[in-house]
Amino acid sequence: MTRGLALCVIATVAATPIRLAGLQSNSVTIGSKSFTESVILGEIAAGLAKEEGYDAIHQEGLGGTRLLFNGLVAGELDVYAEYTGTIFQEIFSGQYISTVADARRKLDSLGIRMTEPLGFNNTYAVGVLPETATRLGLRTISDLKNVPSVRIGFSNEFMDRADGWPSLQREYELERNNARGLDHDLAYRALEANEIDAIDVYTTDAEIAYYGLTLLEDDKDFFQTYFAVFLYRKELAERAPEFVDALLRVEGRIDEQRMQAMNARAKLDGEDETAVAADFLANSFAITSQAQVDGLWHRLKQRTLEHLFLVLVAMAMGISCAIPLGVVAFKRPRLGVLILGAVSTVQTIPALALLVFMIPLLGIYSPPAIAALFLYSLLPIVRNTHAGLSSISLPLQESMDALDLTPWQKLKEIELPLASPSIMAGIKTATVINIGFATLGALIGAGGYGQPILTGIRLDDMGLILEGAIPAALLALLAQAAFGFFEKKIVPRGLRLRRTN
Amino acid sequence: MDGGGSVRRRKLGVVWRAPQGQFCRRTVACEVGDAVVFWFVLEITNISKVLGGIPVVSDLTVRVGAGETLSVIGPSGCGKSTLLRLILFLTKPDRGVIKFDDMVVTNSVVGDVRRRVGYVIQDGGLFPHLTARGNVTIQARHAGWSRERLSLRLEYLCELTKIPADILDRYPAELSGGQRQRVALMRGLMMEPDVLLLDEPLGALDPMIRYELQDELRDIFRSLNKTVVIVTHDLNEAAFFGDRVMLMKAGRAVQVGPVSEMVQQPADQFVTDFFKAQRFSVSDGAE
Repeated sequence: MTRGLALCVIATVAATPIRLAGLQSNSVTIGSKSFTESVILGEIAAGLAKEEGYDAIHQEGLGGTRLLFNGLVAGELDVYAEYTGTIFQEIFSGQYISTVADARRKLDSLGIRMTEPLGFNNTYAVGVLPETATRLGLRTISDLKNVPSVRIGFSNEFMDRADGWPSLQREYELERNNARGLDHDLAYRALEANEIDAIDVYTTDAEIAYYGLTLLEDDKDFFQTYFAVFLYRKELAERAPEFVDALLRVEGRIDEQRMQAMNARAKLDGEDETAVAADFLANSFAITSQAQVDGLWHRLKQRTLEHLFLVLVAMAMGISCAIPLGVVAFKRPRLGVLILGAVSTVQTIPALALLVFMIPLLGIYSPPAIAALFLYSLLPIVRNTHAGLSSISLPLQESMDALDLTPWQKLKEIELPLASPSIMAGIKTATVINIGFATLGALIGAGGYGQPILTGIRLDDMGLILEGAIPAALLALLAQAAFGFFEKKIVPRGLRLRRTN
Repeated sequence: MDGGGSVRRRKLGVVWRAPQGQFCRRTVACEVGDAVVFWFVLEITNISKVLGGIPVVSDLTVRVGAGETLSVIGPSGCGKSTLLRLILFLTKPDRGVIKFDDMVVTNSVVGDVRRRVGYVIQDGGLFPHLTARGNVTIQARHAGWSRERLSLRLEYLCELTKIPADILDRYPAELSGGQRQRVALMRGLMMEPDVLLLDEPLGALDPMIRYELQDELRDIFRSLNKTVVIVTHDLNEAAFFGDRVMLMKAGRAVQVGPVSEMVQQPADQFVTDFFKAQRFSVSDGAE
């Protein structure tokens, strides 16, 4: 047991420098949300930063508005592309900020500045397939009211945000139960498969043209304007003035057609966002940059290290915390009810929610991901430690108690070794679960195998999804095999023997 | 090394006039005038224990003299195993007092008591993750015994229990039933206890091995002059080992005394019935 722990700790320490390498003063960190357009804008910012001689780190495809904005305020990020409508309605929701000047003042108080609009307005619209529009007689959003059975699939973010479904439903008096949440990138496929009738789209989405969607007219003028802007930290103007100047030069340079075309290239033609952004920079600013795409093996190696780092650190913390908790739960049954209840409750918190809870405390990147994985590792280990100790037969317990040993000696010499098969099984379960869960770390920039999976979902690129999913599955199998080996080392030989008679 | 270890401290416990044949010849006793002075290692007075609403031991009183072997017998569930667990404080009595070597057994002295008692249960209760050697020496290692002392003691115990030394490196799962029992006995004797408590020590063995071990065990008890309380459900075994036998029924001691006395003067009908049910005749139990 001790040996296993030591191994984990060594692995943890060895992996630490990987994450710390990126935080130097000459570097700028750019964030982007988990959809193509945001990633392209992020790549454009990154290209500009490189052109001005900075090390640009692009944390692409992060989980959502809240996460990015908090990351920006906390200084985890320097720049990201945001939309004016989102700033008014989502970030400063309920704060009665309606003019750009108010927004700037409010942002300024948080240490953040906003560029002028980059050009295009990427607002929301409700899209349906032309056949559906004809069949159900849909032309305007108001028409949805006349079709009580209409199935609407809105992106999860749209379902929840103040300027999304709740207001739309009130404004157009739509049936509350018609809409359900799903991932934006999956929505197009669900629409095509006729699983749903209407979805929310961004007006610069490449798919609108691709699927020939009919956009329902916003006859009550509900949707706000969503002009893209860059939000950046005030102190960036001193730390990287050339970069800020370059960002300001993008103002007004990207119109709707241009953005839709870039989205289409990335999303429909499967071109790398870096290449798309590089073309834009070349055409608009005569910046020639080498769109450097890492080779598959290099990417795999990098992500494997990141993934292992997340899982190993979380497991090392989990093991060193959960076994004592399991022991306490066993020795103090009343406290045990509380402990088991608490770790079970943690398990029911959705991963994304847990990540979001962690951000104010731990920022973004790996710490919150590790914290979340750590919490998820507790239940299997605590429960199995408790179960293993509880399953020691009464005769053995009494034989043990009849010996004059201290509680610590009993625990170390007899109880833990006897419970070790169960504890190992718990650790194994937790590790395999965490290898899967760690893919969600990509949502908050912790990297790992989740990165290609998220990008693959976003780009509807099965190859990319597999590039993350297959190594994750292999890693889980490898972990399984490694545990088979460790079990031989840790579980005493006497427990692995069958009784001879 | 072990001889007379049971009465290291000759503090006189009880002065008591002994009825004839009450104790065996090995019981530590001396005559003072016309009184006989006994040294009781275990004095159990009016103890009761209720488990899960059922009285398992009710108002039981018994005394065990130094060097004596007391067999405890009775039908299943009569509370005989619980009696041993009460002595070790593995379960606490609801009422009554247990004295070990004139010391009232409480939480504060339980460690002392357990150190001086060897406990062997049915099938041995050996820890499966430790080798036979690991099982036998676990207490001694934590008590800081030197390597020489350990190996000397092991050598002695191997000889005593007829366990070949190479068997010590096997795990319990690799031992036969009889070997497991012998190893368990070694563990019970390792710390040179004053008292041995044996709970159906031969219950899981087949008749041949059982027969062989019965002989050996009695020889060991006698040669070491230990105080022994042995629980069994077999009257022949009880008579074979015990200087006295205690017959229990529903948590109560029905009769305590030498078997011959129980046959000749049964305390009540239950004693007669029990003896009849076990097809026991006095000659079986006689030496």
